[in-house]
Amino acid sequence: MSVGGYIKGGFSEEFDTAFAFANEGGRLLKELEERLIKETNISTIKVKRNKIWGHYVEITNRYKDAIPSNFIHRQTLVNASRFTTAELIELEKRIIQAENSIINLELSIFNELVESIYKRTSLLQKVSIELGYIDLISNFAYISVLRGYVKPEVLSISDRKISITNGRHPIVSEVLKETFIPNSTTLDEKSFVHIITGPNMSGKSTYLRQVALIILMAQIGCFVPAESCEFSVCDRVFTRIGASDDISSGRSTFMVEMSEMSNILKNASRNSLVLLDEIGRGTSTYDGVSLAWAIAKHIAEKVGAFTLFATHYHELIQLKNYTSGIENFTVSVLESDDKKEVTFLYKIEEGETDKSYGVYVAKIAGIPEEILDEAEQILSGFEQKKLFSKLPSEKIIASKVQSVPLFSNLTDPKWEKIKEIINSIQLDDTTPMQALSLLAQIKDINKE
Amino acid sequence: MTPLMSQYNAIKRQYKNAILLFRMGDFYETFGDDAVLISKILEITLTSRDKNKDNTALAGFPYHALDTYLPKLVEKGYTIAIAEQVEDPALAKGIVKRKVTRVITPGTILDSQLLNSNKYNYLVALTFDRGIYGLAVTDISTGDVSCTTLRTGRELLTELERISPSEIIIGQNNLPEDLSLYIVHPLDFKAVDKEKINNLIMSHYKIHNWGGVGFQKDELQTDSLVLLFSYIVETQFEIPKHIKTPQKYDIYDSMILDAVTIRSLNIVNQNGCGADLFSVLNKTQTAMGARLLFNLITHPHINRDQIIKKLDDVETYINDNKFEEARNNLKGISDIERIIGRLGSGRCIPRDLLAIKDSLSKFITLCDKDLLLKWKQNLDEISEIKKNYN
Repeated sequence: MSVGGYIKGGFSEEFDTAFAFANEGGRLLKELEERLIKETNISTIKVKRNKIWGHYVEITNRYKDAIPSNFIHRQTLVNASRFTTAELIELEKRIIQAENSIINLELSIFNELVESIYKRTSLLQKVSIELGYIDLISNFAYISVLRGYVKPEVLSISDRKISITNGRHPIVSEVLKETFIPNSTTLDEKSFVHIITGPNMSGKSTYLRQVALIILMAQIGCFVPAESCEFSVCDRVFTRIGASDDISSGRSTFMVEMSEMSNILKNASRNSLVLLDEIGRGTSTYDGVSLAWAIAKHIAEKVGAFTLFATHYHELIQLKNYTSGIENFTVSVLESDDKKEVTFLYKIEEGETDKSYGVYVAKIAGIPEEILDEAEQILSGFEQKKLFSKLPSEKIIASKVQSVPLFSNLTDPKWEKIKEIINSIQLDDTTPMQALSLLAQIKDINKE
Repeated sequence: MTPLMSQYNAIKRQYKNAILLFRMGDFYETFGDDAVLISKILEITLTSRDKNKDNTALAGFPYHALDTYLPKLVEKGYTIAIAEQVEDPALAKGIVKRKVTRVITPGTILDSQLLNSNKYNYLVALTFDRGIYGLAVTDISTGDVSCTTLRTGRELLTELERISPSEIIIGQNNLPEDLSLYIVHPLDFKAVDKEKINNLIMSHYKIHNWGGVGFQKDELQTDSLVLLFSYIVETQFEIPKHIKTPQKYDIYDSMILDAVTIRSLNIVNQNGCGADLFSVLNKTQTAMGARLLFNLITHPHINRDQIIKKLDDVETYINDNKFEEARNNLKGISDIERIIGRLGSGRCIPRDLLAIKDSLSKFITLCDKDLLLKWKQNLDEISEIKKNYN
């Protein structure tokens, strides 16, 4: 701040006078130089200035012998010597005074200006708020026109509906551009829990996120990537997607999954949007499928939240037969005639699938042909001959699920007991060990 | 001990928890543990005061390198106190007087080169009583202050995830919730000179009691404000004039997005790499616009009318073909929100005034072209701005 030079001429008369004098100093120095040249006949005399010595007269060594006696020696260099004179000292003093007064004047003018602007702080703050808002709105308008976003229609909560025609994932579609496959979504009172089955890598997770991101964009007042969209305002968006292993805190994948799930079940309302991806994956198949079933059913019957439930447990497609509000969806897949090649169409459709195409995914990931062939054989064994009797085929699991009293007979005394145990569980305070022993307890009751 | 070292020690005692940068001529020096620490962080030479007599560790850098080194220290979460020479060495009798003129903590940064212009930089103060939390939050660079009450530990953690504060001040040594993710500084609330802080607050807002800004004395959230202001005074030596009136809010006023959801939907990528929703939607022209978008995207509306108002504004801007014109005029507008903050705390430079002037003339153009959306001031005030700065 002490380095000046920022006040324009014409702003302050006092400043201009001081400034003119400081410039005058430059002219006086030039005059002095010219006079010294004449007086001494040394043509290379220079009056210069640097930060350490201030102003000085420089004379090259060639004229060493011609230096007048009234020159005061200051410094010797390789090719030259530096001097000062009484006159130069006097002149320098005046110049420095003038410069200092300029700096001080500049500072006081600056402070005055700051003070005057300062008085208008609250007005300037209002200006900055308005500018931010204009920027936000014109930004939304700009990207909407650029990317073909549409204005969503905001329904009231009582309409209870999310309807998106040919929606696109705002982030992924920016990368894939035209190759991105849009999908439509209709969640309403009739079907507010969507069970989505389909192979891995077929775009289920992208679809789930897409719906939530479109709603989020709408609720910040932005147009949305879709052909049309109407929605009831969501109070919260919950997600349980992927395995976020919390290694640092020593909690297992499954424990993390379940505590997040518990948070959702406690806090979601009828007006929430819930995304669940592969719930139960972190534990064994039986545990996993049972939990997934019970959770989906609880949401449909008790919570009522708009829910997209992606799962590879095909058993869950049966759930709609037991509870209203549930609909099944699947990602369409095109199989070649010899069934060797599979094309994922990334299109979500009503319906169900019972194939995972895991072997196909393994193939495109580069697993050796040998292993794939072996896996193919085992798979067809499962599908046709039920090769391992200990591992029943999926259809058998499905029929078991139907007959397990847990899900069908709600007044069963065993179920009542189990229910009591389940209700008394404080998920937040339950260690995995305790959970296991509780599970054993439940199992025992079921055996009774 | 030399007089210099006793002066150093006296100042250091007042700033025990800070790294003290001690101005000596053209250098900022640190001694002892501070020297060991900064030599590691900044990769500068660790030496000692005098190899024979005094083996106190010493590390320092030239004064003009402050802008380079300061961000590195602040990024690591350290509090930095800068003691300057406050009299002309040529005029000093004995050793030069020195005083701490700036304290920089992660939550109280005003320098633009230390801040991310797209994001707010929040300082949070927490008070706690029988399971309930009072929370006051400010971005001192813009002067926004707000405050709320949280009824459970879970609510607290969710809200902190959303605010993502650079620094938290707690009014007691420990809180039941685990805050180890954050930089936390305890500041004994009982030891705070509440009368002094209250007086400063009253005179700052020109009110006679808390009721004047809609608060009640001795409430938990009012206490959190007092705690916040006492920390501001401790680090800024005053309440900067641009600090705005505190706004009460409820965390349920906007959509709650927990950290899991923010992460799994890739709404904002905290480490800043890869495409997130924020970067895809952010084509704003000003820092104010970017920060508003950031704030909104982490706090979506749940009120239907608020949503409809914004959507209608966007529609008008598209249909009347106003957005291109608005964007052209917004281009080059400076971060005046933060410049006002620097003005308020006496840290502005001449370039800042020029930036305000240029930005205001662009604002006037926006106004002339009928592009303002929310502005409710009367036109006199705008023409007054015009008169002063055009």
